Amino acid sequence: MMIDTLTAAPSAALAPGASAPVASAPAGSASAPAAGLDDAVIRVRNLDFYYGKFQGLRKVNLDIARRKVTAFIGPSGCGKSTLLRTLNRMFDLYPGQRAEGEILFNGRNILDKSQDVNLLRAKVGMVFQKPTPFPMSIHENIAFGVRLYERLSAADMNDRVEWALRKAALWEEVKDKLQQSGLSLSGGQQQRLCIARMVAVKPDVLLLDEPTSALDPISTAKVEELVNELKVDYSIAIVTHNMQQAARISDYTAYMYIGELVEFGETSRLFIKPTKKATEDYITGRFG
Amino acid sequence: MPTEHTYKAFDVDIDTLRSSVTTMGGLVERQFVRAVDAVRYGDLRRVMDVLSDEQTVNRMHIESDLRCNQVIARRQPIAVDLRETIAVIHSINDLERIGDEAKKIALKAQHFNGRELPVSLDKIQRMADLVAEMLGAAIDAFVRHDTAVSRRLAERDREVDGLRDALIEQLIAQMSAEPTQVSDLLALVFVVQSIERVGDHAKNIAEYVVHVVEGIDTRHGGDALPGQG
Repeated sequence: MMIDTLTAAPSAALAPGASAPVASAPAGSASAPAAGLDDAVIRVRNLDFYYGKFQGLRKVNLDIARRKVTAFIGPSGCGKSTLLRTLNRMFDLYPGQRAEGEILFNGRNILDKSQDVNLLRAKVGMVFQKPTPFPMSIHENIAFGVRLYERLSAADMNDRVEWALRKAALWEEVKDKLQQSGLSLSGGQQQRLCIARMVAVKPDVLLLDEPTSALDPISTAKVEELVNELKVDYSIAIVTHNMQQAARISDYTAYMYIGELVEFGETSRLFIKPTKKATEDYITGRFG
Repeated sequence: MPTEHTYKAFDVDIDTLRSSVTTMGGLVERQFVRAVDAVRYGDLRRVMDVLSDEQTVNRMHIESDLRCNQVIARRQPIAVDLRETIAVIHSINDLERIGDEAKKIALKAQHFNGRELPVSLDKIQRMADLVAEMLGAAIDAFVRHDTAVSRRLAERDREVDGLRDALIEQLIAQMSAEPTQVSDLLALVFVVQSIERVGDHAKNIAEYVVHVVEGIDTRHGGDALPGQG
């Protein structure tokens, strides 16, 4: 069985009021407008992020709704990918990068030094813009990650591989060639293989960083349909430059600009009547 | 007014949609005034003008509708662009129906065939003047994104409704008094109804402007969707 320390009760070391709603963010906070959601899997509080001396995020307050899709939109360099990469501490891999503030995952601050980042990344998985299958068989692409966290019999592992590939809507296309290289698949299939690899370790949250920007429209539609199916079981955050994609697949949208959260709200509202003119100008193509 | 799109061709598309409302608006305004004049002065040439314009209005309706479809297909408008495009679709429908009402009024003038009518048309003219003013104000509000006009037109519409009720009551009373005139008096009831409907359509257009600018749907008194905006 997987050791699951991440969904345990909030750490007693957390400061009182750590999970207070976003609305209570300090006055003048750049991203205070986001109202706290009732059912959030991740609560970002007063998050600052630094690339060395350069500040990439400023006092971001944001909730990722449980079993919903949250889209991060904004121009290049606005901090949306930076924000996504803080949610599973991917930035730890790069020296000189640091985050300050709180990211509460099921009530626990994952920025705590005591946080096991490997376990965190199992619970908060990530898929990147360019498909990144391992140079190994389709079966091994899935099994490799599972072995890091669980000991399964061969039969159970086969079941897990099939389960993950079915979750990623890829099983029917690859079931007869599981021993072929993952690199032999098309770009769209490779991206769904990466999604299968991510769900195989049974995460709670899926982070998708422009997952369809390198795919053709049909592959994009398949991934979008997959996101819609996966949100039944997972909480999903997606970075996209495609405004229509954000409108199509997300329940909530966060618009970011120069490291600040400008507006956060239900997608169905934000794409008809955003509150901020800056948001409206960006989503309607009146930017710069 | 929204600022310019980065992609300038989108601005051209939106401007074209907006100008289709103003062009159609000007045409149906002329139709409406001519139709009422045709009734008042028994002028059958004006009837022909109204019927001729109606074909133009119908063609513009179809063309504008097609342009809206093309903008949706090619630009996938969102936020203010979406609200503007939808407002154009709604507005051209209202304008086309104003054209239909003008045609109905003109056909009643044809029915009267220039003969003297059994009532003074002063009150009907006053009502028609109010409605023509409403229509002009609605088109102007659309051009200028002026949300204040909507409230004024709602008040004016209530005034027009009151005039309609009084006129119809008067016409019905006269039907009882002069049964031989029922045919013409009934035709005038329909004229009054059509004029009042034109006022409703003008009010609708001003309400679409509120949705474009503020994202709030004020149709049906604004109570249909609680908590919106």
